[in-house]
Amino acid sequence: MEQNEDDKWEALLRDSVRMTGLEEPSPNFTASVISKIAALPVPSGKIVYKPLIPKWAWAAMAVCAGVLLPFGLWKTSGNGTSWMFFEQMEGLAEYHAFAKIFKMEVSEGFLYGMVALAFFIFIQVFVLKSYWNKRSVLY
Amino acid sequence: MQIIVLSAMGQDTDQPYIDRVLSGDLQAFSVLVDRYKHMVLTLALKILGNREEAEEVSQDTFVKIYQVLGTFKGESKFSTWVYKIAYHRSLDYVRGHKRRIETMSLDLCPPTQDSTFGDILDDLEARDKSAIIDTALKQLSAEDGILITLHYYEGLTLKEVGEITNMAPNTVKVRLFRTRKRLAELLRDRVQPENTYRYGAK
Repeated sequence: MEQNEDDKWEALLRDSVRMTGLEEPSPNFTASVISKIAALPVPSGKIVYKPLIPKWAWAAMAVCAGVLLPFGLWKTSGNGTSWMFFEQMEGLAEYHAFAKIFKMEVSEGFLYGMVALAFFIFIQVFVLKSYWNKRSVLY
Repeated sequence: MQIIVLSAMGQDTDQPYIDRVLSGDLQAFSVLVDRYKHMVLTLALKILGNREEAEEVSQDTFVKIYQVLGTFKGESKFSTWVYKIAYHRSLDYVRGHKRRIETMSLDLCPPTQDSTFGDILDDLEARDKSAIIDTALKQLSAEDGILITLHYYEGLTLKEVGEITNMAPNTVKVRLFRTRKRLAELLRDRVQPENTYRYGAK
């Protein structure tokens, strides 16, 4: 009985909502939209994914790796030469900010903290990538 | 207000226009705009509550739809995809302006009283149903109004409504049921004011 009444009520609601109708946009609505998109490029039928990490960032990382790697190899080669390249350059080592960074002594806690930070940033890249991918489908 | 029957339209009728837009036919897009602008504006207006802002957001929605039309894969109906973008862009606009949409009407719903849907229907028969229901619909919260419009006007399934609003179909079902009850309460107050008085006197 109650179900029957609910069905009737639902039918009445459906009819009434349809009778009420939708909002009427302004007369120049479509023309405004068309004028706005006229200046835009034709949308592509293919999905173009914008990489989360742009090419210039990869290039910067490659340069950094290219500069730092030789220092590491130099140190582990054990040929008696200091891995600090700047130390061989008299005078420069004392003042060069880059060299000072490598001379800096930090606590273990700080190092663990930095490793943890790097790890979470690494994870976040994938989380953000997934988030923006979903959003790009929507928008 | 505009009465449009969209149920007959579907993917088959939209896809040729989508293909034409993707091949550079700008006028084909105006057909799609004309087809969906009423519902997009209605959704935006329910969320924003301001006609000028709703028009602005609606136009912005169609510009965005044009830009990302190539990403529409046809996994859902085109209308569902359009409404989803409209719904979320309106919410983004509200958040961007540090406002909130009203979502709490159900919590304010008074307990069910002794009059049934049947009683209210009988009373409504003798009156201008549409006008009374229209007034009651406007008293619903933005979210409830959107659920009602998408489900009862557009005829979208619970799953489709859930897809647009990011709700599980069961949640949509429960919310629609509660909204129907809420509407019944609002209508009873209008058509049976004596019951409202009795309730207030308890």
